Amino acid sequence: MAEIQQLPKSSAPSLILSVLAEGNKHGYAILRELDQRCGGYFSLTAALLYPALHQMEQDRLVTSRWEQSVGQPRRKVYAITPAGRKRLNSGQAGWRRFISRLSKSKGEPDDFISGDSR
Amino acid sequence: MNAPDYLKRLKSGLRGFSPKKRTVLLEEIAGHIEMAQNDPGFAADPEARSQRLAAEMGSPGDLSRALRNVYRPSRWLDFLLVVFPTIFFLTGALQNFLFEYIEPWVSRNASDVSPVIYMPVYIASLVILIVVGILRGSKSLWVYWLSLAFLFSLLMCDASRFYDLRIDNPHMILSALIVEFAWLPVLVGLAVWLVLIALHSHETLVRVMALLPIILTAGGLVRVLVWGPFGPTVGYSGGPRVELICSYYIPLLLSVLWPALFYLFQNRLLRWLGLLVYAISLSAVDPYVWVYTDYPGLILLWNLPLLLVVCAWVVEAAQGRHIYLKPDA
Repeated sequence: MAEIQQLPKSSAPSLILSVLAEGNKHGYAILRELDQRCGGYFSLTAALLYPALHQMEQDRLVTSRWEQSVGQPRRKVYAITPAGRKRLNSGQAGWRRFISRLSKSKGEPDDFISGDSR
Repeated sequence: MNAPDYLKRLKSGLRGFSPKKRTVLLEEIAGHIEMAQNDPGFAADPEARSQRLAAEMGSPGDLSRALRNVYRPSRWLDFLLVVFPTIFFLTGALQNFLFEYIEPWVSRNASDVSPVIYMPVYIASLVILIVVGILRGSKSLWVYWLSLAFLFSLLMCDASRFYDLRIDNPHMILSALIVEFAWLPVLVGLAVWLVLIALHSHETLVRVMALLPIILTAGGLVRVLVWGPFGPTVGYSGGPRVELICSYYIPLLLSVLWPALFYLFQNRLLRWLGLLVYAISLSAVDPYVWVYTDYPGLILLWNLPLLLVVCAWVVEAAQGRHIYLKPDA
């Protein structure tokens, strides 16, 4: 059976918010952080990342500002907003419930997913 | 595909965005590519770096399409932009055509009741369309509907003005004077609007669109100056039904539906077509079409909008030059 490596579009915002929850980052740094977290298992392209960031900015889940370092081109840096943190928390709880139900329906043990928050 | 090619294709895919927005988006993506090219941890060698970067960036077409979806106006607003002009038009058309069928049962004075039925629909439709323009963030759109509301309020000063503009009708003099001398403040208002658009927009389509009403209004002023306040006009006075359709209903239909063509589509050809429809609606305005043959100067005067659109379209096609703004600019 083929492995599920392509991330669904709908999961991009929660992944991006989880990265930004740890600090402000530009798009490239967000992708590198996600790479590091999953060891390159999942693929998230720029065609998914930037539209998601811009949509989240319109939905006021993130804010952005251009930062200029000496001798470097300016970079657009994103930060999570309180609304974004709220969305992240509710999304994580919902994701845990989904995985837990999926595991149970496949007959896997209760402790298959640690931190199940039913 | 190398980085310049990628950015070039992305830039092409972002047509329809304002030059400022497009520059900022390209700068952000170019920054991403540049960081990947300079990041020693990104890949071991240039070949691997190039392959990984290509995979990570994905297709420029996918990226531009996704960005356009983020910034496109709400589809509900698009829906309203088609539905309410149609309601506006049908209300006007039906209240005239239905009268013919109810006449056997209702006295001719029933026409006094007619505005009670269609006026609320006119007003509600125009208010909703102005709000749609504001919600779409399009100044030109809501200014257009506002100007249409102003025009209708002028004409509604005396509804019978629709049917007879002749100077020998004493009832028409006051309303005719109001309308004729309203050319001047309208012209000043349109000139201010034109200057604002010229300052803030570099989009040929938007500039031409802003020029159309001012050209027509300037034409109206010329007519007043050359032929006097009432001009060489012959009003519609119960002629054949086909004349009423050609001189009133078709221009009205075109004038309320052209914004749908112009604002809903990102295809440049369709947007030019929208402007052409707008110009035709202006050029075919009642009652002047009926005196073209007697006053050849009016033929040119009233077809200037049409001439402008065709010339601008031809010039742009010849130059192959496209300057784009966001779709709802």
